[in-house]
Formats: sequence, structure tokens, C-alpha cells
Amino acid sequence: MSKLKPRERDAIVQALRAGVVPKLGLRHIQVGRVREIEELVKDMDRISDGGSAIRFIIGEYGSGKTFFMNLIRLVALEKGLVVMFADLAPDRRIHATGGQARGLYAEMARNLSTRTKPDGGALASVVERFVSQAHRDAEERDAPTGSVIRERLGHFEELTGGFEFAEVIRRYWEGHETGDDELKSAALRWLRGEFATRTDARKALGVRTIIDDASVYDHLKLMSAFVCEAGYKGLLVGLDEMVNLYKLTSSQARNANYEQILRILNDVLQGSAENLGFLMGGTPEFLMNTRRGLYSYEALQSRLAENTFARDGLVDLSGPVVRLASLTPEDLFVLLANVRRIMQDDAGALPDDALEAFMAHCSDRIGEAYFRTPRNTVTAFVNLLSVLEQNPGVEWSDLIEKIEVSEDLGEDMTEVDESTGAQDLGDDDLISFKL
Amino acid sequence: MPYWPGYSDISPQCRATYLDWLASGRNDASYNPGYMFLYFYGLERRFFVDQSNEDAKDIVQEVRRLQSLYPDNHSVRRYLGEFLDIAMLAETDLDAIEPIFERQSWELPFSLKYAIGARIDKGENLTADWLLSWFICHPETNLRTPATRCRDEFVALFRMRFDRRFPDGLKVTKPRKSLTASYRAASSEFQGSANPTVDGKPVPDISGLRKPVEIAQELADEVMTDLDKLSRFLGRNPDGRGSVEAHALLPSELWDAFPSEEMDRLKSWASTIVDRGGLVPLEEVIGRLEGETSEKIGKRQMTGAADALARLGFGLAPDPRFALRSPKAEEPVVLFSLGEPIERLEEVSDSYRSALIELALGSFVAHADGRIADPERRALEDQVSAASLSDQERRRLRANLEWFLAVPPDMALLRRKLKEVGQDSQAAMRAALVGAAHADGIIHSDEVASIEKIYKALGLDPALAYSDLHAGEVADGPRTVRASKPGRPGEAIPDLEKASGPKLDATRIAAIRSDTERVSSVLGQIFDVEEEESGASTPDYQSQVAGLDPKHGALVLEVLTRGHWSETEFEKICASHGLMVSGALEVVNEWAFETYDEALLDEYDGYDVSPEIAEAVKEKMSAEGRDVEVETT
Repeated sequence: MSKLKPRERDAIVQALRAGVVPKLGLRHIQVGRVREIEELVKDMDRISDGGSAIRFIIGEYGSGKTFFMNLIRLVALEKGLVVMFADLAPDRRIHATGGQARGLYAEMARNLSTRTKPDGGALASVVERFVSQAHRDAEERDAPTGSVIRERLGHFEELTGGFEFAEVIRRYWEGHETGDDELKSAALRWLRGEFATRTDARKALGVRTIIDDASVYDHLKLMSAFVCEAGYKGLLVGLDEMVNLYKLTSSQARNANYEQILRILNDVLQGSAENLGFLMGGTPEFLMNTRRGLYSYEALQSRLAENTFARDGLVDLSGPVVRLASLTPEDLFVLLANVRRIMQDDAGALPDDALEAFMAHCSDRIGEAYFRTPRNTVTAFVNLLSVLEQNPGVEWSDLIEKIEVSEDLGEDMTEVDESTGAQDLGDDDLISFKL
Repeated sequence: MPYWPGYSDISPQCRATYLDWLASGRNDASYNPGYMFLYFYGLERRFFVDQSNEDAKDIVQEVRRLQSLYPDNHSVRRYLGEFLDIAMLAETDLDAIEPIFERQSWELPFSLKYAIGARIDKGENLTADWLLSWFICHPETNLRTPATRCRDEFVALFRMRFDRRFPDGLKVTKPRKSLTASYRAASSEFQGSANPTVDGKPVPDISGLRKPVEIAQELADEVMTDLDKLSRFLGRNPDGRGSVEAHALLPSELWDAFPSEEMDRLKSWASTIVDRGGLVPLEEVIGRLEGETSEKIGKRQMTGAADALARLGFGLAPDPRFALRSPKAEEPVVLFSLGEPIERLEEVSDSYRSALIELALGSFVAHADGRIADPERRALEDQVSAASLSDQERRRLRANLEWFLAVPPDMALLRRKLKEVGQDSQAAMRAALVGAAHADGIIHSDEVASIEKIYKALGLDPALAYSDLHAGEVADGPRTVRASKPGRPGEAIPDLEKASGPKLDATRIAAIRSDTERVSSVLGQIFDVEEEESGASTPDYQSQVAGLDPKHGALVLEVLTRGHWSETEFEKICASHGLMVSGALEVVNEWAFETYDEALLDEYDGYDVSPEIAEAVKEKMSAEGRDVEVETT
């Protein structure tokens, strides 16, 4: 096991106490799932080698989808990939007409991370890294930086929206060169998909298009090409809480999103996407429901059909679907042991008996939920360890019975109307209307 | 003539008529039977009162002759019968008395009592015929329709069953009371009595005995139950006796007694079908059995056919009694060998029933994608093998499976049947369904759709379907045997403390731990990059710092001089080197990660310089003979 950095330790403890998945140091608490991880690590390698990958991470509520995806995200960062992760939400979808898809892109762009900036907000770093490389080249060749940028991004023009993208990067350089911070920030805003109308974009940057609902996937492809130009190995896109698509009431809206997923899936499986990977996290219901899940979209269903000979220890992970089994009490035990090792030094560590007593206590309180949806159990355990740490005289056996642990009631499955999260399009050329 | 005539009371004309009748040979039945009775009064007085032994036999014969003159007269039959019953002993030997298989009055016939009593007295065991006769004539026994409608079969089967149970005959304990015959004269002039003897000893009286009758009733009940189907069939088809179907309904023991050629032909036909694989259109089966086919084939016909075949040792699938639906006439059914003739197809275990439904569900799911893949078939077959059933039920189940696969099930019917399914069977069904869907290795949306439907029909939360499919198996938890009922309002009973906490499986923990260690090593390789790896990556640039271009190298050297930079200060030095803030930060930190596995600059209220890296760089520099000025803060 690699050594634990204090920063990671704090991040883990803080996140676990808050009941969220830590962003750092996940490798210190990961339990089992070695085959899945190995497979996904291979995916990351493939992406860095110019390939592509897509995986649907399917697991029950509490089975650790988000944890698993974050772990892979860290692996990707470490492999030199840029990652763009976002949760889907009623106002953030893959396809929409009311700005929700752009909302998703904006969220992903804000969360864009590199190894040096693993907490997001790394878009400017990536852009500047590219621009300064171009500037260095320009100095060496004694050519204007603007034309070097244009030259290096020349092949972008083949891609949808590529010309404008290159233009915006050039404008960023211009802003730097002329000390025009407003121009720089406008360029970043454009790249983050924060321009709602073309008019605004033209005013600020002189480009004719913006990143809109229809061009989200195209811009992800552009972004993957761009990060490669900037010296990174590729781009990993992570979309969690895919169940939000399942919750859409309008079948038209749902199918439009599934069609978008199909497009991505086809690109990846046919190898037409480069240096680009996708992780999508969802519940079994999202995958298999034949009325509203991915299986309701015939073309997707046939591509996602699984090889389930792979049961009972034999796992076939060549298909795009990765199923995460729910945790067992034994898994939880090892997980708690890992948390213990992170929080306590070997000398003062709790004995295994204490872990079992703690689990028994949780089991009494909330039944099977204590290991099936372990979030609250882990939080309670971290709190227990904190109390012990701050009160050196206290015995664990005195505390266990007093611990409060409540059941994790799962996610909100309320349905989402098509227009939820639609944004005001303002004074754009077209006014949307409904019949 | 009055009903009770007396010679002294009747009119002269009547007396004359009487004399005429006597003179005409006492055989003209057109005369009023009163004259005959007048004559009979004399005979009975002679027999009982005068006790004349020499003409006793003649008297009995005369009375028997008289009785036959008036076959339809109830009084004649009764009074003369009563006389004969007792008087015949004078005429007949014990061995000559035949058992009676017809109930005549509300009492056991005297001759029967005598014959049986004498046999008991001699210590003989009763044969089937005597017991049956006793049983039939006994006033308190109960005979149902099969015993009368199929009398021959009843008697024959009763004999067989009796002989099987009592190979040496039925031993009856000798009652203490002796048999006395009391005779009320038909003329009501006197009361006679007789104490019949055998070999000079009084005969025991069996009329008080119950045990043998009870045994007989037991046997008879059994026999009648076995004949029920035949009886019902004959009731519907009064001319059906001798047909293949009727024959097939006979209990197998009776086949030799009631042979049928048609039956043998049917048997050989069925075995050729079974040899060919067993599939045959239903109409052909019914045609064979009933001799004709009809457009619509009812359930009753199916049941009849199944029963008929079962007696030949062949099964018919679908089992009409338990199948979810009956096949249409043109659809195939499956004939199969049962291994032995079976008479009661309707007696099956509960596990057979639920296994049958599970199979139906499983095959329904397997059918969902429009074809049956080999693994799906295998999985269903495994399911049959796994069920805890008798060998014979397993055969039947297998054939039913064969049929399910040949003929797709129908959801509407399935749903109706599912309503009857108990909660405790649900877990097993879920397992069967999910197993069937997984069997061919591919979960088709059609399969999921059919599982969704079935779960709905079972009243289960459809969301459970996805969980089950996801897990690939149904949790092997305790089954709900009976749903809990809400308690009565009042004192709340505290929840039972769990006796012990969750049991942890130590071997599993060990396995998970080793798994986890493998993960750690996989991840460790990724996260702990060897330091040597970098450095050579950008060799083109002449730089003060290995691995960085001159501008960034210079920036790093400057940055190292202090432990902390404010934002504006950092911006300034970046600008002085001709660099962009974010870009420079990215490049420098990326380099630091590659080289030292940690960021050089930590963004925190300005920028913190990692002292470890500063130290390391400084050392490296001095090793290379250059000095860096580091300002200590």
C-alpha cells in the first residue's frame, strides 16, 4: 500500500463524516472489486493510447457506484488524463432543448480536473498550458503565437464546431497578450458553455456559435482533442446519477437522451472516438426497465446485452456494463478495518471485536441496510473513531451502544418533467414555443 | 275376501271358489291370492305347530312353488319368503346354501345368519363371498352408486382385495348368543320358533357382530372409490362398457378379468409415439381413445385421456389437472412413459405443483426472445432435476417441460394461476424466473419485460425485478410463511433483541482481504510513480531544472527561494518570466508530480511551496554543482 498523505487522510475523514465519497486517497479504503478495477485501469490505458472506452457502472443504491467512479477518476488523473465529471440532475441532461444539456456541459467543464488540480476548475490551466506551449514554439520559430495556435488546432476545423473552438483559444492568447482580462475570462466562459446566446458570444468574442444543447457531445470530442494537444493523454467523462434520465416522464425526451447515449456508444465501439472515455453510473432499474430504462431503447438494449455466464466468480467484463454487487457484511468489515487503519495508528487501533460489536449494533438498529447502504454506517464509525481520538480515556465498549445510526432511505425517484431546468433563452435568434 | 281370510269367516261362495282352486291343481294365479294364503296357513301350521318332519321337505317345495306363482305380489313375496327363509333349513344342507348378493329386507336373511353362524361355529374362516353377502344384506351398510352400476366389477374387485388382505379368509370370533328363529305365522294364529342346529349343536347368532361388517365396509369403500371414474363414465355413456376408455378406467387388477383387445393396440400405439419423441397432436390422442374427434376438446376429455393413458403406464403432458392451460385440438401434446401404471394422477405433492408453475414461468421467460437457446433449455432441465420430487413426479415434470418448450405459454392464463400462488413460493419463483432469464447468458429486453409482467402478476414490486436480475439470484433469505398481522392496539411489545450480531464469515473476510491487497498493489503501481521515470521526457531544452523548459525552470528556481507567495506576487514573477499563471502552475506542478510525486505549489491563500521538494531540488542542484539561494521564512 502506498503511503497515506496527510492531505488525503483529512480529505477522506472529512468526506466520510459528511457522508459523501472522498475525492482523494480512495485507494486506501477500496475493498475488493479487483477484477473490475483491473479492467477499468486497462480502459484508462487504452484511452491514453489513443483509444476509447465506455462503461456503464450499474449497482444498487449504496453499492458504491460513485465511490467506484471516483476511484477510476483518480486512476485516470494519475495516468495523465483530464477528467470531466458531473452528476445528472433534472436540469442537467445529455440531450435537451431547454438548455439542460448545456447545463450538464457547464457543470462538467467547471469540474474539469487534472492531476495537479484534482478538485476541478482546471480548465484555465489546461488552456494556458496549451497556449504557453504554442507561445514557446512561436518564440523558437519566431512566428506570431496566434498563427501557431491556429496551425496547431488546424485539424479542429474538420470537427463540428472546431473552427470556433480554435478561435476562442486564440482569443484567450490575445487577451493575455494585450492584458485584456475580460477577453480571457470571456473565452473561458465560452469554453465552459456559459454563454446562453450567440449574440452575447459574438459581442464578447466575435464567434458565431456557442456550446449549446445540440453540440455537447461534439464539444466533448473537441475537448478530448484539445487536451491531447495540450500534452495530456486524453479525456475521461464521468456521468453519475443517470437514473435522472429514467425519471423523465416524456418518452420523447427520454429517447432523445438514449439516442445520444447510443451515438456515444457507437462512436466508442466503432473506434471513431479517440482519447476519450465515458463512465456512466446508474441503478439496475435505469438499465433494465423495459419501459423507461436503457432497455426500452431497442438499439441500446442489443448492444448492452450481457454475457452472464460470468457469474459465480467468473466475470466477463468485456461488455460495456460493469455490475457492482452490493456489499456484504464481510465487505463492510474490511472497509471498516481500512477506515480504522487510516484514522488510527497501529498502537491505539480498535480491536476487531470492536468492529464486530459496532456492526452488530448497527444491524440491530437498521437491519440489513447497515451493509447494503453503508453510507450512514461508515459515517457513524468515523464519528466513533473521532470521539475516541479526542477523548483518550474513553473505552470503545462504553460508546458503541450510544451510537445513533439511521437508515439510508435511498434516492428520490420523483418523476421529472421535460421542461424542468429549462433556461430562459433570452434574446436569442429563435424563441422556443410549444403547441 | 278380507285381507286376513279364515275359512270359517268367508262366505259360501268364497268357500266354493277355494275348493275349486284346490281342485284345479292350486296353480291358477288368476284367483285371488287370498285363497292361496288360506292354503298356505295350513301348510305353515303343519310345519311349525305339528312339527311333522317326514313331510317337511314337501311343504317347503310346495311353498316355493306357490311363491313363484305370484311373482309380483308383495305380500306373497314377504310372507312366503319369511317362511321359506326359516323352513328351508329343513330341506337344504348347510353347504347348499348360497350367499345372497341382494338386499331383500331390513334384516339379515335367516339362512345367511345360519350359514355364516354355522361356519363360524365350525371354526371356518369366512370367504370373500360370505363376507360380501353379509355386507350387502346388512341393513346398516352403505353402498354407493359404483357398487350397483358396476356390480360385476365391484364384486370381482371386492373378492380380489379381500383375498389379498385375508389370504386365509376372515377369522371371526364366535358370538355367545345362539341363533333362534322366531316365526310369526302369516295367519297370525300362532308364533313358531326354531332352534336350528348344526351337527346337533346350536348355531351362534351373528346378527350382533359389527367388526366383520366394518371391515367389509372399509374394503367396499376402497373398491367403490377405485370404481368411481368408471362409474361416472358409464353414467355419462350408458353404452360405454367395453370401450377403450371404459376399460382404461378399470382398476388395473381387473384387466385380466375384463380383457380388451383394443387396449393392447392402444398400448403399442402409445409406445411408438413415445419412441418417436412423444409429441403428437391432441386430436390424434383423443381420436384414438374415443374413436372420434370433435372440434373442441374439453378439459374433461383431456382428464379422461390422461387417466386412461396413465393406467397403461403412459403420461400425458400437459397434465390437464394442473396445467396452466389446455392445449387446443391441433396443438401437440407430449406422451411419455410413466414407468408404471398410475391410477390416481390427481394425487401429487405440493412441491410438484409449485415446480410446475415455476417451470411454466421459466419457460415463459425463455420463450420471450422468440426462441429457446440450449443453455435456457439446460437451465430449465436443471431446475427439474433440482426439485425435491419423487422419481415419477420428476418424469411428469420433465414431460411438461417438453411441452412448455414446444407450445409457448399464455400470459393471461398464467396470471390467473399466479393469483393462487402462496407467498412462500414467491421467492422460489423469483429465483426460477431470474435463473431462466440468465440462462442463455444474455438478458434480452423481452425477457426483462416478461419478468416485469410476472412480478406484477405476483403482486411484487416491479423494482424488485431489476434488483433480482442485477444480483443474478434471489437472496436466499428466510421465506415469509405467513404475512405478519398488525398487532392489536395497546401495550407495545419491545422488539426482540437479536441474540447475536451478524455472523461474519472468516474465510470470506480473508478472501476479500486478499482481493483488496491485489487492488492495493494494482492501484499502488499507478499512484506511486517511480521517480526515475521522468526527467528524460523533455530533453530538447537546455534548462536549469531537469525536465522543464528554460522559462519554467527559471520560474521554479525563483519560486524555491521562498516558502510562500501571495497571489499577486506569483502573478508578477510569472509575468516576469513571460508565463501565464494557471498554465505555469499546471506545468510546474505536473513536473513536480512526475519527479517527486507531489505538487510543488499548493494553492492556499496564495501559494505554498512544498518544503520537501524545495529541499530535494536544492540537494540535486548542489550535487550538480550549482547553488540555489533559498530564503528561509
